[in-house]
Amino acid sequence: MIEFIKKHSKLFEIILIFFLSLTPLLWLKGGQIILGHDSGFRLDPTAHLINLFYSWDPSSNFGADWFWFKGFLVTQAPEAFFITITKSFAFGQQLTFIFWFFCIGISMYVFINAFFKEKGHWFFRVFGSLFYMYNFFLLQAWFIVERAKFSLFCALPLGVLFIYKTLTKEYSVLKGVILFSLTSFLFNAGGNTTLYGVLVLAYGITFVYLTAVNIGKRKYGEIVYSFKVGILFAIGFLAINSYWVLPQLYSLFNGYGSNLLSVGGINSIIEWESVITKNASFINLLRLQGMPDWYDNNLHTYAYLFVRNPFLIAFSFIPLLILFFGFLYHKKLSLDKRRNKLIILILLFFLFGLFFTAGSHPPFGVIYIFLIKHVPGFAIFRSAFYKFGGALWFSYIFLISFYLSLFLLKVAKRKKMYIFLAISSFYFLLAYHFPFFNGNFFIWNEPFTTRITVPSYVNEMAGYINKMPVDTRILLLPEFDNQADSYQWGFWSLDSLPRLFTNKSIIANSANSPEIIASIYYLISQNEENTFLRLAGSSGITKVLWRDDVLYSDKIRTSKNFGQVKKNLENFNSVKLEKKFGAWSLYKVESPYYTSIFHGINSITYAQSDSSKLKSIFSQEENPKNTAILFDESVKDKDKKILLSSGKNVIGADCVACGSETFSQTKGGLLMPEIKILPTSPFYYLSSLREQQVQNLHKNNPSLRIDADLGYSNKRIAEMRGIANAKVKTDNEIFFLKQTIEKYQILIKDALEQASLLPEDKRNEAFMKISIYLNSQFGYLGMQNNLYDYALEDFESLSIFMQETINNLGNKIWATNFTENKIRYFLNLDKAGIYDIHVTTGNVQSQTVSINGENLTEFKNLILDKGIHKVEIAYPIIENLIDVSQATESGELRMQFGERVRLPIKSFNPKEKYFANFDYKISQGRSNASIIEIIKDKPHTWNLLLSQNNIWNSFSAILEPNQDTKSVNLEFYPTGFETTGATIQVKNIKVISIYVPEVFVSKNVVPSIATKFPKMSFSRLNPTMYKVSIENSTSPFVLAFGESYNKGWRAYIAENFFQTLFLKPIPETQHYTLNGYSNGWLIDKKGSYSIVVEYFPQKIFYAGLIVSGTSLFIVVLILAKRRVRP
Amino acid sequence: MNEIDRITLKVKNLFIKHQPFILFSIIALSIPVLLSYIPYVNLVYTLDNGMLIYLFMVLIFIRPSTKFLLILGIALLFLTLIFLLLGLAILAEQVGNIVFFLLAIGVFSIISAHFSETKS
Repeated sequence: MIEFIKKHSKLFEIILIFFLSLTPLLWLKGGQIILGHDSGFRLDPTAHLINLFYSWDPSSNFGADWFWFKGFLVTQAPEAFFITITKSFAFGQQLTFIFWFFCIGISMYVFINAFFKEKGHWFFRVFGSLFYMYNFFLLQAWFIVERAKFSLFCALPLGVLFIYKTLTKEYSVLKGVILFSLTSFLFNAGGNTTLYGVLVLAYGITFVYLTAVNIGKRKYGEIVYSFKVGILFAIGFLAINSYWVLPQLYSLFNGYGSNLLSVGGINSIIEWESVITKNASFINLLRLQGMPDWYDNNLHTYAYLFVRNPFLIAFSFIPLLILFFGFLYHKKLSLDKRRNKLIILILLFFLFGLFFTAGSHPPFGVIYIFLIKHVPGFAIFRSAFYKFGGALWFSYIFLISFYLSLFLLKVAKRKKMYIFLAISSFYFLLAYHFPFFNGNFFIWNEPFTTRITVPSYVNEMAGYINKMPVDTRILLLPEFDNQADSYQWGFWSLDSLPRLFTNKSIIANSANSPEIIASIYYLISQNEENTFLRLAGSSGITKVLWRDDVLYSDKIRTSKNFGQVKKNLENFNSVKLEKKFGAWSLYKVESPYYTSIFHGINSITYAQSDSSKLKSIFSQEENPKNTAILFDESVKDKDKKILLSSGKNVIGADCVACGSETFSQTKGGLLMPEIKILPTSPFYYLSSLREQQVQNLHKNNPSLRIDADLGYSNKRIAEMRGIANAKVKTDNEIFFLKQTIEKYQILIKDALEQASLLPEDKRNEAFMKISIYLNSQFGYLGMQNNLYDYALEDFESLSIFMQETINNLGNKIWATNFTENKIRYFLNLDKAGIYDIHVTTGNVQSQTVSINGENLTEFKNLILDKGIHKVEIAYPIIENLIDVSQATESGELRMQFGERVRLPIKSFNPKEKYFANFDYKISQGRSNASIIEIIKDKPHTWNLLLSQNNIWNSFSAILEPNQDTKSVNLEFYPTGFETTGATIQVKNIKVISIYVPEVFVSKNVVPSIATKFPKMSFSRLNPTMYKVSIENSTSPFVLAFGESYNKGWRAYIAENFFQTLFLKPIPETQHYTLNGYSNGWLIDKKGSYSIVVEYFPQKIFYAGLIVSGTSLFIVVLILAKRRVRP
Repeated sequence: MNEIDRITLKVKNLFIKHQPFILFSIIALSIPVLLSYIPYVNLVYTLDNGMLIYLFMVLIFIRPSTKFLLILGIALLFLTLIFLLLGLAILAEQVGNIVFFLLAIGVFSIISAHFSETKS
């Protein structure tokens, strides 16, 4: 037996790795599965793989592009295989986890074994492999079973091995290329290019290092060899992975994926990066820690132990100690030169890995930020810790295992001692990583977890829905919270649960959903059945799925909070309950306005407004079924010929200062900056230089110039304060103070001058901004008493200048005044004509509408000139919902430290919007004022930002309560220190219910081109291809296609797919966005013919697939031949 | 020569003997400190960075043995552990940065030893 073990020792090593790969069997019990969050698991993985084959995902609202995920065709294949063969989702998943666990371990084993084959190194091989499987970097990936990362962890050691062996000429170039290509095919990191940072880093270092070593040995001719190897490896990689690389390259050059690379601009990328690497200090990384979740998530199931427990903290230093001692005794460990070369390569990985994994964390974070800002494409590595961590973990684990194994060999003179120490090391490694064994790491934010038991009614509903026709569209209710779908039984995901079990179109307010979805939800909540049916019908929605088991991310609100919405839905005459399984009910929507995915349009309404007015415009349409709304944005850079068929023009009026940002003439409250470099400093010219550069940069852009002027005017004010606070006061200070006042006035005058260059509506916006700045600055100067000790006259004249400017602006500004119940709009007409005006009434009936100061008695046939018109809607005075007399007779509140006044809003209705306004003065201490919403008996506090400047300020805000808010209070409570005291005075407190109507004008026009859509029928070949048959078209018409607009959709006048290879599509300039989301083509061909509509990126995928398939075939053929060859 | 004179002379002697090093360390220390006060420059070149670079320059100048540095590294590791146990994470991070530098020096010394052996 012992002889057998000795003979087959490596087999036993592999068996040990496999045995420990069975750890996932401990995770799932009693039908539990992993689903949700970012796990990407689908309840039918085989159907999901088929969907992934196509570049268009029909289930995501009205469809979405997803050719970015082609790499998952391979990465998610194991789960499809295991679940299919076991016919059990839970067991199939367990096998998938074991597969990945084993693959990670064995890849490290192969790597170490390639260099340390001797039997004596068994500990190194096994310990290194186990450590590579059991570490906290991977554990944070296991909670969502991040297969892309596992795949990357497998590819890293194997890829480095094959490059190393080829460059050192131990492998022939052909063998190297074949093995490398095959590895990169099987372990493609899900085709997630952002994860390739690690591979590029590791492979790049290997190439450069070994080329340098080769040059040292065999002169410069080696560069040619390395170059040849590099090119062939790159070709091999690209060829075999073409099926996902080609689509991604195509998207990169065609702007399909540009939003993925520049989400929120460079500054938000840097901000995000700094959040991710906030705890990636060198000392944390060197202890193999620094995972962002460990420090940010209070509900983390095990992190607190490793962060707080003194023993675990002490144990975390062991790897670092091993490394230090390893370095100390490196020479004495007497390695041969060949292995030493490898160790140096790994040390380079370690150093670079450490630097890149720390990302923007000090002390070298500035270099990383520089790379993000200036190296094109580097911004994709915006979470450095996750993107480069693999290189650090791989190299560090290798080094620790290497030095530890050599120490054991040196220290343990007797075999028994060696075995004892080795087993102790294994035991310690596994014991230290104990969270791997209980599976609680799946609970990421209790009760939300990725380890769930799916209720039987969900599976039953899934089965029912999957039997429905392919073009079924299902609206989800209640709507998502913060764009996430979450349930009482623990499921939480940014993607909706129904999308995980069906490829039917699931409509929900998920990320980037179009306006029409928000409108549909709004209409149900407002009980407006007719307009709901118009919108639901025209967008093809035929079902509503109500879920009674929803639990929002705040863990408070449930489906019960939306009882009124459910009641509205059930009261709609055209909505009938179709099927009920447990907590899920499916309703059938019988809209008379239903249109199929392809239909003709006979009337275009051209709307010069943003899509937020969609529901109001739709509610006015006489025939919404074959009418499409074309928003202004949709015809930009397009063929305007479509407008010739327009039967109606709609122009929306824009409400001024009635969103979250309100305006009043006394509004201020901006914070002044803290200035370190004062005009008295010798370095001040640097700061002035920068200001001049910015102002010159914006000399032809008045809006940006105004922003710069106002920003710098704040700096001047802060500088005045800084100079006045100087300990020694000399004439020099007074000179600089006068100069700063002068500069300040120049800036404000420049801002006013720039504003005069803007069109009326933009000028009005600029005036409001200037007024807010001036009020803030005036208030700030008012509390700086010491300023007036210096240049009294100059400050008096400055004060007069500011007050006059504020008053002048007050007379010019056109803005909504909620305190006077006047809602104001700008209406911009590009043509004079006769218009009808439409004002949505809401619940408020009595109102006066005026245009340019004239009250309207008739709303139809108004003669309006071209240009900007001022529209005002005035309501009767509305009751103040705050009863201040409860607190004080005078109506003014004065509160001292420790006092607290709570003022409830009377007759509160969560459906309404409220406007709150009060004046306040904080004389001492810090103020605190807040609006407190009572949601399900729990208070939710919204702290108000008040200025502590000892003068009267005005505060106003709009409150949009949650649907389930029971009551709202306004609360004041001065805080500070008891010794210094705190005082706040508040007066003119007013809270009123407000309603901001939508206002637009419409004009019926006679279309220049008479459009009559022909009879048509269509067939769906697959999610990316449709064929539409047109019969006897007699005039140009608009072909509407109800999937989300994407310029990848192309229409060809062709009979079949093959013809599209040689034909040009209908020009993109005739491809429009209809109703703010769907596709429409202007077709001007007469007669009977067919139109093939295809999603073009699918063709790119097909091309890539052919190249990949051929490459794979060649690789397998060569491998087979080499094996057969004697 | 009395005792005071003797000590004075000894100090003078020490100063003259180590004058280049003392001058170097003063200049090397003052440069990062000054740079970290210049506006805009200090956005990139903070006092923290400056101190690490200073430390690095001093190490290059006095050239202690790698063995000494690694032992120093191990000692600093214990200091870091103590800081962490006391909940002084910020201090631990700063000491950790020095540990990283010492580790990096260890890596460089291994690399240079390997290449010098290979050449010979």
